[in-house]
Amino acid sequence: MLQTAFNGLVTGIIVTLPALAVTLLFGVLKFPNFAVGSMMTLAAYLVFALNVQLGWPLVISTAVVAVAFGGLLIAIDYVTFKPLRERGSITLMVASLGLGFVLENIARLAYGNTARSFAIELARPFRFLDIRMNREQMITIVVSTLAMLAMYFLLTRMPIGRAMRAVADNPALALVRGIESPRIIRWTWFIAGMLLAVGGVLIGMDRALEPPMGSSYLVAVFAAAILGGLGSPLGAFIGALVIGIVSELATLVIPPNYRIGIPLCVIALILIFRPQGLFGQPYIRK
Amino acid sequence: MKKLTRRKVLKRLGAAAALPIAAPFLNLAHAQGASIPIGVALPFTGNAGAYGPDMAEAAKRTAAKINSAGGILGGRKLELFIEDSESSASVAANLSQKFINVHKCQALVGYWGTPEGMSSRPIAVQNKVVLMVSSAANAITEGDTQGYVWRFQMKATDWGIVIGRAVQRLGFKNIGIMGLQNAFVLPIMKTVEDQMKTAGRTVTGSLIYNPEQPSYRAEVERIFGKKPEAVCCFGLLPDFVSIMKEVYRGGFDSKVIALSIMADAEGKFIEAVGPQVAEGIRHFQPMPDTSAPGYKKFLKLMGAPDDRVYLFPPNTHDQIAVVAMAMEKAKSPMAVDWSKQIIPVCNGPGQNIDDVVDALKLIRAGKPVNFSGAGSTCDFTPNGDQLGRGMGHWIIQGGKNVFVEYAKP
Amino acid sequence: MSDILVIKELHAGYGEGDILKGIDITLPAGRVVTIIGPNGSGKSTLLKTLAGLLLARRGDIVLKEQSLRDLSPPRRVRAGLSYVPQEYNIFRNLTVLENLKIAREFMADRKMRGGTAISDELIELFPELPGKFKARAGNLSGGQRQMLAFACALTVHPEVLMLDEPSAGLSPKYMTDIFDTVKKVNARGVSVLMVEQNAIEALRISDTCVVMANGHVRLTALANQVLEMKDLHSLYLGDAKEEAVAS
Repeated sequence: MLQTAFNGLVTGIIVTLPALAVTLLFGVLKFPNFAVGSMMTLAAYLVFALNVQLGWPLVISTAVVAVAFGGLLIAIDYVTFKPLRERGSITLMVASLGLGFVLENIARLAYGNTARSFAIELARPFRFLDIRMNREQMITIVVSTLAMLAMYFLLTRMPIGRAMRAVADNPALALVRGIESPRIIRWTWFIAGMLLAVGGVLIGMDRALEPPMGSSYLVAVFAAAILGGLGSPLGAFIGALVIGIVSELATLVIPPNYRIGIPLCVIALILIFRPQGLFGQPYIRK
Repeated sequence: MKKLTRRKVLKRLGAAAALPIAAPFLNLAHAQGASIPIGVALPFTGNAGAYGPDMAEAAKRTAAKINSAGGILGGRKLELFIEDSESSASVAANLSQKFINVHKCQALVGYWGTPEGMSSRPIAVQNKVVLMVSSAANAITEGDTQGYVWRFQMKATDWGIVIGRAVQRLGFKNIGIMGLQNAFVLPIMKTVEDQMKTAGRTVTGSLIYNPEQPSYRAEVERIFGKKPEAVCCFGLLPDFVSIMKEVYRGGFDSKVIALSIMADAEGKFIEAVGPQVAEGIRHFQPMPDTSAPGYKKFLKLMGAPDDRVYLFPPNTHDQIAVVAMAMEKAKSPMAVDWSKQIIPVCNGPGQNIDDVVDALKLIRAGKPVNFSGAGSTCDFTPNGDQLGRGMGHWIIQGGKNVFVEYAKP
Repeated sequence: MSDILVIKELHAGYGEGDILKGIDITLPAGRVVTIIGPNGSGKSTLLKTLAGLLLARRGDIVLKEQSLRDLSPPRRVRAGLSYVPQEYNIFRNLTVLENLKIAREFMADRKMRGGTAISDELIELFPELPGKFKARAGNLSGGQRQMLAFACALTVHPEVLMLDEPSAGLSPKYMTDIFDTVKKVNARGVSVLMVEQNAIEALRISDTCVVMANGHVRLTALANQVLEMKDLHSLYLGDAKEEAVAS
């Protein structure tokens, strides 16, 4: 029970970074980006290229890819979403589905369907309070927590973070307060790219690298973001932890292969009873 | 190898150039000398992409051997149309349509994997064309195939029998079983589970997991957490890599029994997880009897060293050979006729023979034969399931696959 | 006295058809101009078009000799035109202090960005705000929100301040405070263009009154003249007779 809860916590923590990226992107761009899964996959393979094929240390590879990936997403936005920006969120959502398909298959084309791993030594677990923990789980917890703190600092203490929250809250008002939305959109993609790159590496460490690795998390990521309230960074964090722990604990009573249904049920319940999520606010339509 | 391909291409070009000139004088389509088209769908890309090239080479060399000995049906040559199935059900189905409608093939061979076989089966039956697959799922030959579907591979249930027996012989008293939700894995799981129970052993837990799950932590916890002496895990490479990382990092010590397509996969498993995680895993895979004379002959045909183990190419060789023999025996290139001659040439009774050219000579002389192939003894049940193929058993030690034994169901 | 803001023949609207059908208004520097008129006459649409949220289809907007027509909303703010919308005029998820900071952080002009987010001048104008800096802006009362929105618009030191119904939905106490504040701001040299329903209170602090109806300017007159008119209420209820006030 305790072990399962801990496993759930780790699963949830892995989901926090992509859920935060989803919620930031939704806040600023007002469409659900279903390409986040494949974006994580692609970033993980880029890190694989540096880490395994060029032999760079994993930390450096991740840092380099995180920054480059932020830039890449700005470029991707420029060619895919920017021309469609005025067409409404449904068009953008469909475009993101197509983009996800393309990105995943780029990874597949380059590296095939076989499973791969980063160049890190796997270690046996250690015990704490009779709970088995391993090094990758510790790395995941530490890295995600640091990333969350950095995001908290960015969003509350830095002008660009405040501006992202402002645009998410009320885009028209942001314009008349002198905030240039194209610049904020670029920053949002950049930050989302960094979060997704790190998230992709954490997922790749946790399991094997394969083309569907990122999209397999899509349901959990969106459940977390919707539970927390799309557009609410704190909500995404808490939503991810809840989804992770609830889905793992559910395996104590239901067959494990049905646990993929748990996030779907959460999405359904939230949309019926509290569409704005735990920490979101009703969306202004003006 | 390159040279041979180029020569083949040149030859085919030459034939194509000759056609329009010859056409006015000869009605080629019905002439004695017209070639016999055979569709060959093999995985060159996709998750089984590693297996395609050797299988293609086996097909080419087998056809070349038959052709250089004079072909069949009074000098007609076999002409292969080799295409990439991309390890995909839908691509394989499209290829089958193309082979039948464009190339007028009466024999479809290759078809590695259950998805490719399942998607092409109805097409073959409907068009009354023979389909020869290397797929394991029981469903491939279940129901009425009208004698058009032939499996050149062990049936999944038979895999379970061999693995279950090995697990008992290794002395494990209690085991856990986990398997991928998949038409090919489920019969293996069920057979192993039933065998353990009838042998009075304990199955501590059994579960099915989905493909492409985000993580397998809960599954590993559930099965390995009960600390069985051994765990049988049946699935594919990607999920097995994730599962074994979880098992190692979770500190579990149960022995692991798997399939070679998961735990070997041409070395990709050890490459992905490293030797420490892979240590001690036992894995099983249907394979030819490497001591059989038919297999040794096949190695010579391939120009390969004596200790080379080919898993699937011998089946491709046997498929082409059986097509040729059955056509010769039926004296017809039409599948409606020769599909009925597959069992007579393969199961006998008749003279035991393992060389296709020799067998063709005997058939032409009107003598009965009992063919044994490179991949198996080539015996079939009336519904098209292959008998007489066995499984290899390996153990990973120090990052290497060490051969343990060969066993038949 | 020079004119700081000149609106010439302005046409704008949503979808087909114009809501503004050729508006001409002039704001002399340092003055307060109040626009009144019935609902649907295009008052708020005019301010949105001036702020750049709506595209001007024809005509021009000139601020200090510079045409704003092709500038984005943020550039218009930088040019010196600041706007307080009627509703949703603060960022609800940000604190009061964050609202004030964000209003000036993206100004290219150093003069606007310099100093602290909340100057002594602003504290003097809005004495209630400093006690609420940490509060989430969404939790403020209606009057406090209006004050915050007002303060945000002023923190960039605009030349012209546009207010869209600043007293809407406020208690009488806040209403008085708001108009007092407008007056103080104007006294410091900021020209004000205001849309108001509470015409009498607004006109008391205004120099000029513009009456709009149906997308047109029906009347431009001195505020005190309009205040003296007997049928004042009919002007913003919509049945004003142009000839009755032709002066």
